[in-house]
Amino acid sequence: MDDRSRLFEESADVEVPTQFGDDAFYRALAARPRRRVLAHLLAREECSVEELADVLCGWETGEGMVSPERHEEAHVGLVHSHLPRLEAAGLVSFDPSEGTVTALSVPEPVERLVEYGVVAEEA
Amino acid sequence: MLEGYITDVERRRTELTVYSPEDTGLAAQLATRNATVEHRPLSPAGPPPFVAIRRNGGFVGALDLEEFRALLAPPVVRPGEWDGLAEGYRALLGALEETVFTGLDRRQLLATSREIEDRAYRVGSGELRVCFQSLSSFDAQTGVYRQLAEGSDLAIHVYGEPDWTPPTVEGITYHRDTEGGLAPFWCLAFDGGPEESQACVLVARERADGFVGFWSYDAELAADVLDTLESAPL
Repeated sequence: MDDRSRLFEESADVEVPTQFGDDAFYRALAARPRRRVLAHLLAREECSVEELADVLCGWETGEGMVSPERHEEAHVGLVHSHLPRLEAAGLVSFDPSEGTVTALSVPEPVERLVEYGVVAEEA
Repeated sequence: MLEGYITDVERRRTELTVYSPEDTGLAAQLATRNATVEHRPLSPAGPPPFVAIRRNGGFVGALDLEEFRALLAPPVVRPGEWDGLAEGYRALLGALEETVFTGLDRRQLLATSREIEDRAYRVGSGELRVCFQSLSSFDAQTGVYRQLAEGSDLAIHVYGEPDWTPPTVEGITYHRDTEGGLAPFWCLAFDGGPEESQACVLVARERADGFVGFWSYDAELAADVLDTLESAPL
């Protein structure tokens, strides 16, 4: 059996997420705030945009009290950039009128990747 | 006589949201009268535990949970000696301005008082009126206030029940509260001198289980309290 066949043999036991072959998926994860938001949503499943803005600010408390200006920036970034990109990649569902965000179900390897992305920050 | 300031401030709503993987029980520790404390879970991969502070619905700050806990054991630093560590505490005071706290102990009152005295010291001029309930309570403060008076052009007025005769210090005027109206109150008010932005005020009332009170950096409120003290019937 050649190497390529062996690779497919091994991967046949694990459902390889289709996301891993999709540029839009990698673009969605190519920003720290988005990885952080996704990690939070995977644990929470659903929450408000306000809570996500709080969480993004929570990541910055190492530098002292986080200001209302910073919180506003985070909120605007979420609504106008991060959440639409995460939604386009099929990772979340965002309801702007309700102000709620729901994590869409993803395969376990994707969850693992997102978690690693956030844990790797502390390394 | 100063009770009205506490009730006015009480009407404003502060919301504290504690974000941590497990509930911290911070709600019980804070025991405030006009602040609600809510817990929301964090992913273990998530940011380190923190507190989001909102006033009347608007976000005013977020702080690391351990730093927030420091409020319960604040630094007590002499005026003019506040350094970077205490700056974090000062920022916390700013965010929690005009929140009425119950269960304050003397150490916390003292720490907040020092913050006000430090401001007054740095500005170097203006009006500072203080009340430590009784003049004998002021005894412990004479060293600090001597330093304040001698190191600045501040007009310092000290109020208290006349159960002790304090030392004469140039720049300090003592007011004997013979009526006893100020006996339950620990209060400091500074008008900011030439810098209105440096005005600050602390009003606290002693109860059986500790002090209830608030602090504010609002210049108008500080001026009001200064007027109240100035025209207090003693």
